[in-house]
Amino acid sequence: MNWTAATVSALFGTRRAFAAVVLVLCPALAFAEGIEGRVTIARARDYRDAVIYLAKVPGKTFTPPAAVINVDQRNLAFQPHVIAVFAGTRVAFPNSDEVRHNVFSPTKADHFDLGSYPLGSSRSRTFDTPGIIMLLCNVHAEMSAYVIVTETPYFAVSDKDGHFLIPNVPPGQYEVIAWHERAKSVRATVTVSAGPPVPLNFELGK
Amino acid sequence: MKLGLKHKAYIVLALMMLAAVASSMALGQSYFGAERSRVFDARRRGVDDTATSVEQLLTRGLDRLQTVAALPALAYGLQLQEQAREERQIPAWTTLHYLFFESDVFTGGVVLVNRTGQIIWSEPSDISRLDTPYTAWPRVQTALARQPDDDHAFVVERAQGAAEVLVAVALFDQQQERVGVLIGAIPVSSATVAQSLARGLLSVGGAAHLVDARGEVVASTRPRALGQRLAYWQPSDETGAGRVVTRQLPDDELLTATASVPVAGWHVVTEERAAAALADVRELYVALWVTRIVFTGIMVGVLLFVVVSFTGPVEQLTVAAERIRAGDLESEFRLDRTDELGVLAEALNGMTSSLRDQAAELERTGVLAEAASRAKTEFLAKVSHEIRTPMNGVLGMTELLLGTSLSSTQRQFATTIQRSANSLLSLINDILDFSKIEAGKVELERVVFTFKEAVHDVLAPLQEGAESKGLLLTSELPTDERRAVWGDVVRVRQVLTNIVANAIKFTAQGHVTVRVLIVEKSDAHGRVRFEVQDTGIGIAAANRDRVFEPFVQTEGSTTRLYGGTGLGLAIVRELTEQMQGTCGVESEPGKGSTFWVELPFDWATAEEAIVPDAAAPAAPARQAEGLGLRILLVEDNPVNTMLAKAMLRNLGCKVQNATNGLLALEVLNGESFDLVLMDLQMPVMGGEDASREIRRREAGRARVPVIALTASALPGDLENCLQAGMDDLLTKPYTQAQLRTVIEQWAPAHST
Repeated sequence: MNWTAATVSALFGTRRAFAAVVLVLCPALAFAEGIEGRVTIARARDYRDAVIYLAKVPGKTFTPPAAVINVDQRNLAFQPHVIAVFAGTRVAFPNSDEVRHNVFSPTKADHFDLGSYPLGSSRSRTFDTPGIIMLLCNVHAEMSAYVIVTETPYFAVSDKDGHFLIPNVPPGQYEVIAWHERAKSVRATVTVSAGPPVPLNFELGK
Repeated sequence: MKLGLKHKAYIVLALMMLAAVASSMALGQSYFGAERSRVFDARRRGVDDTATSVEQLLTRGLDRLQTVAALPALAYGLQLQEQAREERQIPAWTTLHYLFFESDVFTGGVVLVNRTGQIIWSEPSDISRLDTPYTAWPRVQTALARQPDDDHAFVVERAQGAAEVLVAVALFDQQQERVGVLIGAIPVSSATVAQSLARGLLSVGGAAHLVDARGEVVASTRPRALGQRLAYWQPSDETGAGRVVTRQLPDDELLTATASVPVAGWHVVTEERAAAALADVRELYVALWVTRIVFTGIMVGVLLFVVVSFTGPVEQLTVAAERIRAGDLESEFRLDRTDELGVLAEALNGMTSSLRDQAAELERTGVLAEAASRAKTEFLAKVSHEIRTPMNGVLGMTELLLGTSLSSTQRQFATTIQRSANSLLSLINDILDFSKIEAGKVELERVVFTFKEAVHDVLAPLQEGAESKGLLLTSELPTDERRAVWGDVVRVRQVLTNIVANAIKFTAQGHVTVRVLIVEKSDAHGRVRFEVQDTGIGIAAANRDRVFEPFVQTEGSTTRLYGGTGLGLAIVRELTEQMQGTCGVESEPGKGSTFWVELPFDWATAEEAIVPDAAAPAAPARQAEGLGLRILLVEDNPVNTMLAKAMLRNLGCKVQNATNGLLALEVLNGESFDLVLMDLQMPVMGGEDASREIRRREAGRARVPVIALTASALPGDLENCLQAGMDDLLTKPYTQAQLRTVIEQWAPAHST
């Protein structure tokens, strides 16, 4: 509950925190609406790290969260490997390895290089441009990470079984996108109404 | 069908043989099946192991390459290389070196090519020149295009006998466009493929192949097969785990084993000549058949010998036994054996010998018995004759004596003599009758008579005796009494006489009633029941069954009181049974008895019934006195002669006597007689011979009646007499009345 409240307040700011907490405390209305489903990916060992997000919510503007999200560099790997953030969110990349790490994006839409830095230091970047941002390490070719920058605060990252839940989506018709690093993205249209989460499943893979 | 011992033995033998052969074949089949399976299993395991090791090798390599190819940095590196934005060595390549340095899988090296097939990177770095076209690129590209996802492929690259399996994995950029291919090389020597197969598994001339998805031989223990297709096998033939089959080729039979390598769609195939692979099995097969035939032959021989040595003597014994049964007790049976069959033969001989002795003994006894029987009959005939003859004298003389004037005392004595003599005669007749009946010498006659006559004839002679005892002797007859029936009236009368006489004898006062009942009646047949009811002493229940047995009287005292031989009722039963009838008694001691006899009979028709009536008037009734006939009496016994003369004189006849047949003939020569009374047994010439001579001499002239006189009472007497030309027979002793009846019947009427 507290975690949910914290997340909600982080996403929507303190002004709405009160209302959100009221909503959460009322069990009949909590998670009353949303999109829930499962992603399967052809030829993948497991179905984790697929990102499912709403393309747009017309006529609405959202405030980016103030909190900074961490992507650690540990044991020659970005952890987590995939994150999704609302445009304008700040992400920090601390180095927890003995070796120096470098973080750079070869993605044309948001091309940057944070340079290389040793254990204990951290550099961060605010992701303003919506898109799929690939992160590599100049030093270690086997390292990679993805930051999916979305235009709405409605998104989810699948777990190992491919299960996902996008909570608190206001009723309406939306275009939903499912992305995975080894597959072509799939789009679907869904209508969310009051009541239990709308089911929605994706099959990714060529 | 009946089967002899020998045939049964043969059948058992044949069945045993069949069973032995069948079990041997079954065992052999299962043994060969097992051997064959063993050979097949070895091949199956061999190809399975090989396919598994190839599969593992390829899978390991593929996994490794796929993991690396998935790194976004490589695709990015290729993009950079393409755009030539980076002049310096791309950092990702350093990582590649690190990842594939001295790879244990890709001992043939690893190469990275871009989307046009130019070599971008290699490890070790000296295997290819960078920025040159990759020589196997066309084949790799083709293989990738064949794959549904064109993300990986296996390509075999051969050069001068050696071969490499190239494991190719495509790299994709963020838009899932293929930007390059990472290729690892695994040398596949012939030894690698046939590693497990070459360990002495295949027979001489056999080969092991690794065949790719298109059916081309990728690696082989037979170098010239490389790059070829197997004539007898298509990849589409087989999938899955090891399979062993024999394949019929035009000129040979192959034993092949296959197993698939699923990751690449390849197959491991072994081939060898079936004859070579299964040579050991075949040798075993032949050896077993030879053994089987030899042993079967030996078994048949031994069993045949046993059967023949048993059934032969048994058959001989059977033949001998049959001969003995047929009555041949003379021939000896020889069997030169010392075993049980020999003993059996000896026993048979002993048995035959015993039978022979017994047969001889039986024959002797039979002869003796027959002789004894004959002697008994002769004795009876003789005795009866010898007794009757003097009895004739006694009775006749007594009768004559009673015809004279006597004082009352003398008459009483004479009457007693007559009664006693009659008793004696009846006793003798009983004994004689019973002997004849027992000897089966009674012959039933069949004449027409009526029950009324029969009963009358029985009661009339007994009436006097009954009256003298103060008994009322009556008869009750049915309405059918007058109808004539067929039967042996003499025997019927005898039976009734015996019963009635018996009843009179044992009844002190009261009555004796004879009832005749027709108990069954149909058109042709009937059954008559005679009942003789008395008011005598009766018979105790315990004795009722025994009274019909010979020489039995109810109590010892009875004999003393009433006399008699006890034969009367025995004769009744014997005669009744002879006539197909039944007899019995119902009695209450002290109150009386009812003896009954039931006899079957046939009704006589009206025409048949006339005969006795017609016969009756044939004998004209004559006056007793003054017959006035001339009679020749041929008799040698002086007493009988005297008796007959006296009787004949009483009847008013003139009598001349001749003492034998020859003398009688002489007398007849000179004189003529109205009737001849002829004794049968006489010295010089007997009655029969004399009669025959009389008939011979009187041929064409008047026929003199000849009446035989005899004391013998054997059946056939009358017949013999008639054959000798005589007319009737009078049994001695006879009464004057009997004599008169006969004379009156036969004496010619004109002589009066």
